[in-house]
Amino acid sequence: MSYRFMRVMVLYDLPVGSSSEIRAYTQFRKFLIKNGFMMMQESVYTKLALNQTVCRNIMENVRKNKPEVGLVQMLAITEKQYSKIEIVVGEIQSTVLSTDERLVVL
Amino acid sequence: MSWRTIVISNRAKLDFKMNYMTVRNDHEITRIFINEIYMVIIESTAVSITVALLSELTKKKVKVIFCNEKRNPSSELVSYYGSHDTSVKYRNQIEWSIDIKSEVWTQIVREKVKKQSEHLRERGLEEYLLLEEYVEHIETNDKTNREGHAAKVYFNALFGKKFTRADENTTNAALNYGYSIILSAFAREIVANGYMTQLGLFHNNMFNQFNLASDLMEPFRILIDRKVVDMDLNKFELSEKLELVNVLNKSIIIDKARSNVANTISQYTKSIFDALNYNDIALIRFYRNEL
Repeated sequence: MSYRFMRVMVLYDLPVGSSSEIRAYTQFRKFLIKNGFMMMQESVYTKLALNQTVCRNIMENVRKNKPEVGLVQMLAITEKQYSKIEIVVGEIQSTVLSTDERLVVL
Repeated sequence: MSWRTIVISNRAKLDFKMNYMTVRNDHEITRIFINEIYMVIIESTAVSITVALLSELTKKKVKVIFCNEKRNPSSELVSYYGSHDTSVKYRNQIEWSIDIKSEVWTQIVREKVKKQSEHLRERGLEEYLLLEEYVEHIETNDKTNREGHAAKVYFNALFGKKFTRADENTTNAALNYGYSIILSAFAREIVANGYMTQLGLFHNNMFNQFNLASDLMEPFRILIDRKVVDMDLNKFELSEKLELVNVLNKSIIIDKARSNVANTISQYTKSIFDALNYNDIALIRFYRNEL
C-alpha cells in the first residue's frame, strides 16, 4: 500500500431554526467527529486520508450521511498543499493529533 | 487503514470518547482517532487506562503492549476472537499436516539464514560465505540445526567472538527489545487473521504463548539486528527504544512493491496462512531490502 496523504475538508452551514433542524445539525457534526474529522474552526472540518482511494471512500461516506437542507461543501487537497496553510490571525486550538507522523511519543 | 504507533512514555490517563483515544498528560490533552492507530506501547507504569478504551482498541485490532517498571515490554493485549470465523480457522490450524508445517518452517529458516548471510556480506564480513553454505545444507525441518550454528557464527561476526545472546549488556537488551516489538506485531496479525498464537509450526514450548508468532517472525529479526549494529549503544534509553520501534515504519519491498514493515508483516503472514491452507509453499511471500 502506498502512502500519499490527502486532506478532505468539509465546510457547512446548516439551519438551526426548528428542533428537527437542530437535530439534523447535531447528527451531521457528530458523524464528522466520530469518523475522524477534526475541527479546524467552526463549521470547517478536515480529515487525513492515507491515499486517493481512502480519500474517495471518505467523501462517499460524507455524501451518504449528508443533512437534507443547508449548505455542505467538500474539497480534497494533498497534505502538502494543506500544510502550506497560512494563519493570518489567531492560533489553532485543537487537541486532536492531526499530523501525518507514524511514531508519536506522548 | 491503521498506521500510527503511539508510545506513552510519561504519566498519563487514557480514555475513550467519540472514537478517539484521549491522552491526558500533566497539562495537555491529545486526542487520537482510533482507526488510525496500529499499536499502542505503554512505556510507563504511571499510566491509568479505562476498560472502555481497552475494549475499543481490541475491537479495532490495535496491539497494546504494556511495559514493566524497567520500561521493557512485559505483556500485551490479545483478543479472544480476531475474526468472524475463528472457529473454522482454529479447526484448520489444528488440522495443518505435519508435512506442510515442516515444509513451511524449512522455508522460513532458509530465508532467515539467507538474510543473515546478506547482512554480513553488506558489512564486508567474510563469515557470510559460511552462512551461504549452511543455506545449501538446510534439511527438511532443519534436522541438522543449521539455524543454531548459523546464529552463533552470525552474532560472533557482528558483535565479536566473546558475544553470546545470554549475556546481560546493552546490545542484548536492544535486541530483546526490538524482537519483542516485532513479535507483538506478528501476534497482532495472527489474531487479526483469526488464528491462535499458541500453536506453532516448530516452536512448541508449553510456556510460550506466542509459539506461532515466534515461528513466523524469524526472517524479520534481521531488520532489528541491522538497526542495533547501526546504533551507537553506549546507553539504552528512550531514544534508542524509539529508534527500534520505528523499524516498523522502515520501507522495504514485498511482491515488487515498496511498503513499510508493519504492512509487509501483514502481507507475509497472510501468505504463510495461504501456504499452510492450500498445501503450497510457492504461495509464501518474503520481503526484500531493495529491488
